[in-house]
Amino acid sequence: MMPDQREILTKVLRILDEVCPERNANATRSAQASLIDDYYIDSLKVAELSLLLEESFDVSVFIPHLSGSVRDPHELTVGALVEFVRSNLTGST
Amino acid sequence: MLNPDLSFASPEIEKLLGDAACATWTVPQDPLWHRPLDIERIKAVGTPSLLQDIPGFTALSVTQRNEVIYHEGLYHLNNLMAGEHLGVFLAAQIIRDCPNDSLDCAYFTSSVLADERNHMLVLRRYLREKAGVVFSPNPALAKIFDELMRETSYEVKLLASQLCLEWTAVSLISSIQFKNPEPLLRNILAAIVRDEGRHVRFNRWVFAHLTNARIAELQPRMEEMFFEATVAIIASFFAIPVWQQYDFAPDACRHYALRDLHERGAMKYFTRILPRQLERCRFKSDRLIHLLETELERRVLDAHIELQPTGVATDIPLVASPDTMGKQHDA
Repeated sequence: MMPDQREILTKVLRILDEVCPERNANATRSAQASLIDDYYIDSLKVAELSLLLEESFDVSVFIPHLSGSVRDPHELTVGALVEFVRSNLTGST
Repeated sequence: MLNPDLSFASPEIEKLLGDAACATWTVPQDPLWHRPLDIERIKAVGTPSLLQDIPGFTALSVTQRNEVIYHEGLYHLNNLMAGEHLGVFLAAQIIRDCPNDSLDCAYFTSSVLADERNHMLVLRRYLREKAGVVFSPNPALAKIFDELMRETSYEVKLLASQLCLEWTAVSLISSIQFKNPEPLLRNILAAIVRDEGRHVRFNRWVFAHLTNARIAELQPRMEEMFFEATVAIIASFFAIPVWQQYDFAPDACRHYALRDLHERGAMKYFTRILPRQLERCRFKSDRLIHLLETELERRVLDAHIELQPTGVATDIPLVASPDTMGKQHDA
C-alpha cells in the first residue's frame, strides 16, 4: 500500500536527519524547512539523499530533477521533497 | 530481423519512451543565449576550491582565487561534456548489442543517444560561445571512456556509464544549480538533469530484469569497471591544468585536493554510499567495498602520475596566465 503524505514526511525527515546532522539549530523540523538554508544540502548530500530515499521507498528519486524544476533553489523545501517522492510513487512525474 | 509484431515487454519503458518523445528540448532557443554572462557575479559565489588549504593559495588576490574557482567549474563542465560525447557512442554500441526480442532496450537507448547528443552540443556551445574556455577531458576519465568503448557487455557499459559516471556527475553538478547565479547555465543543467532522470529509471529496469545467472556471470567485471570508474570520477576532480596556471606543483595539488575531498565527506560518499548503487542493481559486493576502502586513494593518486594531463585544446581562447585570466572572456 502506498504511504500517505504524513508517512512520507516522517520518513523524509528521518533520512534528512541522517544525511544532514548539522542542521540549522533555529529551523523547525517540518515541511516548511528549507533544504538549502536549514539542512545545508550540497551536491554530495543530494546524491546521498537520492539513494537513501530510493532505498526507503523503493522507487527512483532523482533529486537533481526536483532541484532543476524550481526557479530559485531556495524554494526547495522539505514539503517539496515529500511531494516529489509522492509523485514518483504514483508515477506522475 | 524485421519483425512488425515486435512490441514492448514493459509498459513502464513504453511510457518512459513516450515521455522522452514528448519532452521538449528548447535549450538552444533560450533567449538567454543573447545576453552577456555576468562573469564577476558568477565568480563570487562558486564552491570553495579544492586547493583552499594549499600553501600559497591565500597569497593569491581575491580576484585570482575567484578565477581559480570559476575555471575549476568550467573544467568540470568540460569533463561532463566529454562524458556526454562518450554517451552517444556507448548508446550506439548498446543498441547494437542489447537483446532485440522486444523494443524496450534498443528503442529506449535510442532516446538516450539523442539526449546525450543534445547535452553534448549544448554544453559545447556554452563552453565555446559563452565561457570561451575548453579543456581536454581529464586523462583518467579519457582512460575509462576508452575501456568502456572496448567493453563487450552492454550491461557493464550501461552500469558504469549511466549509474556510476553520469549519475554521480549529474548529482554533483546540482551544486552548480544551487549556487550559480548564471541563469543560462542553470537552465541547461536543469534540462540535462530532467533527461537523466529518465535514464536512471531505464537503467534500474534493465538490472531488475536480468536473470540471477547473468548477474553472477557479470559480477566480477561489474566490480572491476565500477571501481575503475570511481577512480576516474575522483581523479577528475583534480583540475591540474587550471592549477598549473598558478604554478602550484601537481604533486602538492593532488595531496591537498584529496585531503579537501576527505574533509567535505566526498571520500566517504565514494567508498560507502556510491557502492549502494550497485546493490540497488542487485550487485552486492563486499570485495568492491574492500577495494574502495583499501585501494581507492592510492589508485587516484597513481592515476595522475601515470596519466599526465594533456592540458587544454587550442582552437579557441584558452586559459592563460593568472593575470590575464578573465580578460579573455567576452562578457
